[in-house]
Amino acid sequence: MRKKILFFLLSTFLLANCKRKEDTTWDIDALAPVVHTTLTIDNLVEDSILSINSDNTVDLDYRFSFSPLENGFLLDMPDTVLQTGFGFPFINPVAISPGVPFWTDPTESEFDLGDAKLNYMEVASGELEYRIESEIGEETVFTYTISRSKDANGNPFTQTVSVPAGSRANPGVAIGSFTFDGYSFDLTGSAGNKFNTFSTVISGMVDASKSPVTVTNQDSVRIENKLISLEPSYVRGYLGQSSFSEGPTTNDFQVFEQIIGGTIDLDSVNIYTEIKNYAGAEAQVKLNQIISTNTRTGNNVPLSHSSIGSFVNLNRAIDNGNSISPGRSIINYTKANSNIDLVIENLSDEITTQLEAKINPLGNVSSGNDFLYFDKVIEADFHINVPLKFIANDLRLRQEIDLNVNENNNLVNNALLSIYAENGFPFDAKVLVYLLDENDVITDSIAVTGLISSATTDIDNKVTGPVNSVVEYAIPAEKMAIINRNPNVIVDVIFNTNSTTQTTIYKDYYLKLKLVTDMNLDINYR
Amino acid sequence: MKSSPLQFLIGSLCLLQLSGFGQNTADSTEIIPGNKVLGTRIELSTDINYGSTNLTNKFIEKLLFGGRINDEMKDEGIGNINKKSRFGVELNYDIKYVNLTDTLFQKLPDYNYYVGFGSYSNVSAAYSKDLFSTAFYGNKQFENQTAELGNSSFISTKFEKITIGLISKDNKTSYGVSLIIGDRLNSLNFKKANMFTHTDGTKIDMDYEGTIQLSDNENPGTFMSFTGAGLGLDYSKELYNHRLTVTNFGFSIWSKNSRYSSTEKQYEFEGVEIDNILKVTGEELRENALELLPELEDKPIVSLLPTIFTINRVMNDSVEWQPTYGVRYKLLSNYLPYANAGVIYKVNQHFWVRGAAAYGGYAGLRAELGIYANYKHFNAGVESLNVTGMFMENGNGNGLQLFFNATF
Repeated sequence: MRKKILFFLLSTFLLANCKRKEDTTWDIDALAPVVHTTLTIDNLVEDSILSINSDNTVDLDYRFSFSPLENGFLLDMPDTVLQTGFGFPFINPVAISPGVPFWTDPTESEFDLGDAKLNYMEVASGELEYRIESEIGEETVFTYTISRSKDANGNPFTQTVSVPAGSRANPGVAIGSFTFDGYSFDLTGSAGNKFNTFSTVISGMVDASKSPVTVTNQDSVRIENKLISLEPSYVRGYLGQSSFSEGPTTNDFQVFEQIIGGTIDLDSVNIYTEIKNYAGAEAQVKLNQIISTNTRTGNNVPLSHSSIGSFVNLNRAIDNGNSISPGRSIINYTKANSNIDLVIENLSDEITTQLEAKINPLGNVSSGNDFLYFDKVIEADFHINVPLKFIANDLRLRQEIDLNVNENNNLVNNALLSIYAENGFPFDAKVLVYLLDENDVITDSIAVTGLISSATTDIDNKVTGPVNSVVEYAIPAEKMAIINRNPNVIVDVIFNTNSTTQTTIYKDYYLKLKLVTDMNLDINYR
Repeated sequence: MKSSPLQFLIGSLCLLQLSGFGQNTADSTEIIPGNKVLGTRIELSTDINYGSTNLTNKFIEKLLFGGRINDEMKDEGIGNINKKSRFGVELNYDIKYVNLTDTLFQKLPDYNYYVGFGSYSNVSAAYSKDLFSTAFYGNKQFENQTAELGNSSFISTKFEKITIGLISKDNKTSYGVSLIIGDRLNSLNFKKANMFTHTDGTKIDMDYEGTIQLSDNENPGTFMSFTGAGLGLDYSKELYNHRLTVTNFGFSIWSKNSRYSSTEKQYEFEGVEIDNILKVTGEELRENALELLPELEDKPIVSLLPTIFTINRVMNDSVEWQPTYGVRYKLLSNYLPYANAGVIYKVNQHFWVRGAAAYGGYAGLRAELGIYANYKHFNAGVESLNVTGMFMENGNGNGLQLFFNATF
């Protein structure tokens, strides 16, 4: 036993000494290039919005579409409740035979659609909720049929519901729902001369497999139906007159969110707008205001243009069977007919809009031949074209970068970072780096010497040759410690074009960058 | 942390504990047991040593066991450096079972058979002054100069072997054949590697010619991993009172995820090239950086084993004073030819002590000290292969050899 204890103690002692308690470390002074890259306009601007002209000048071409109106504005299908009941009209008790309908109830129900008069509807989705209470002492079967309805195969909507046997004191109850998805409905009623109306037939009988049952005039059946969440995909008829007003609504505008200071003077801005009306009814749209707001400067620039405050008429679309030809209206905003350049140059972070719209402003001029496909109603296409010809004056872009280091993985004790730049762009750039404390508040900055100088240009402000420059950033140990505590740094790049007239950017302009480090860093291994 | 014999002893015992027992690699004087014919002999031996021609023990211990290598240690290392310096660590152990009553082949009645198991680990480096200086001081000192990093190599091997062999009944001759179980082969051999650092570090020019062999990079060299496999031969012969031993003469094939490069390349490094600095990812940086390294192809590697050759004078256990000397060399291990010479004194019928001076292997000139015992059917010995390193902080290595034989 003593030997075993001694062996155990010896083994433990040896194992404890064998474990490598720390990394092997030492420090070196490294002087080396780290990365190099060449930036062209392709790198600076997303390909999807970059447009190169035949003379190698560059435009920003941004296209987008949106639908300014909600479908509900044109037609909103309200939930509709249908209630019915049946009492046996016999003085003396009567035996009801199984399988023989004891009740057939044709009913017409009307949607409350205001002044709209629809005669046909296709349903994308919707439900019929039912609740049936039966005091009949045997299981009964009820059949729902919606007349003049069809599914994709041409079959009318028919559903059956079994209701358990009940009594006056304790009625049998059936609760459930049916979906209408994909059905179409004729809304002209059973006689075909109404609007917004659908016909249902509910019939009831004792289950054919059951025994005859005796009922009295004290027994009854109560039915409650509810049409809910009806979403049409297509309607036909008269859509009615309605109007819509939205705003003023303030929306975040993030295109310029990285620009935190300075000014830009654009040579030109063109915004081509096409409003398309896919509804089979006349429409009018009016933009009451567009205001560009720069919350950093507090500067508001309302858009001035002849269309502001005036209704734009949109003709009704034409249904070609397998395609729709929309009614169109085109509005162009240029520097000549508006102050759109000032709106853009305001570098807004908020856009406030207010608009109005009307449908069938002239009433039922189509004699009930309006139509509406709900997947596409009114659409506005925007094409923003900005030639890259501008004056930048201390235009300051800010980006927060996570260096992804900490005290444990950052081996660099101190460093002098040098950026060697060969600039072929006609603007200079200064890159500033700010350090953040644990609360993400700027607490310090990295000392920088030099800037990336602008390329040399000719009398037309066109680049004649690149210019080399060196920018140095000193990161002593105490600033490296701040980075280790919070590796997020803020990088500001300040641009200035080198002329008082607008400078054109060409496709072949470039900026070569090389990052060189002169640093003391730890080497470690385990 | 001050170096001490106890610390080295503990470190050595740790390595022993992790790896098993040791083998007498016969680079020291042997103790030949008496000619007692018994049934079984068990032989255990281990050899642990590390050393450097320019690094002090303080430096080496930080490298091996962790800790900060400060400027003073680096300065000592660079102060002692010569044109080609070396550093190495060896850990070898063997266990052998010898059947003293049975023969394997009827036609060889004078030979018994033995089976054995051994493990051999070796990490070594041979390097130029510029390589050492660049590795431990950085390249800034070479601004606008060329650092000659070539004529350097780094080799790390680890393998086990299972041996079956024949040993003559007079113990003077033995033959063994071994299955080699490869765990690790990492070999970097830079024939030429000239690095010119341009002013301000804007560019680095490399003129490189070298060979890289890497075994399974997903396996760090775990015990009996079969990353490689091969065949080895052992041979031992005593003649004219001297013993020649050849251990691990053979080869290994490494085919599991092995990679190979033999490249001659000149290039100018201007930093890792990235397409778009505004969208660069860590993955892109890593991939582009890897493209700068010599291209490695997936290819099986055939390597010779680090064969150990030794010649030693055999000890005569009946003489009070006698000379002792020997030589040792190890292939493919950045090993300098090693030689020792000294005397053995017989203290009494059961004890001998040995003192010798030695040079080579991974260290420079040093003293060796051994104590051996023989009692009934047991032989044992412990040797310090670097007494100066064991007791001096500024020594240039350490080494311990243990063996134990028992005959039943």
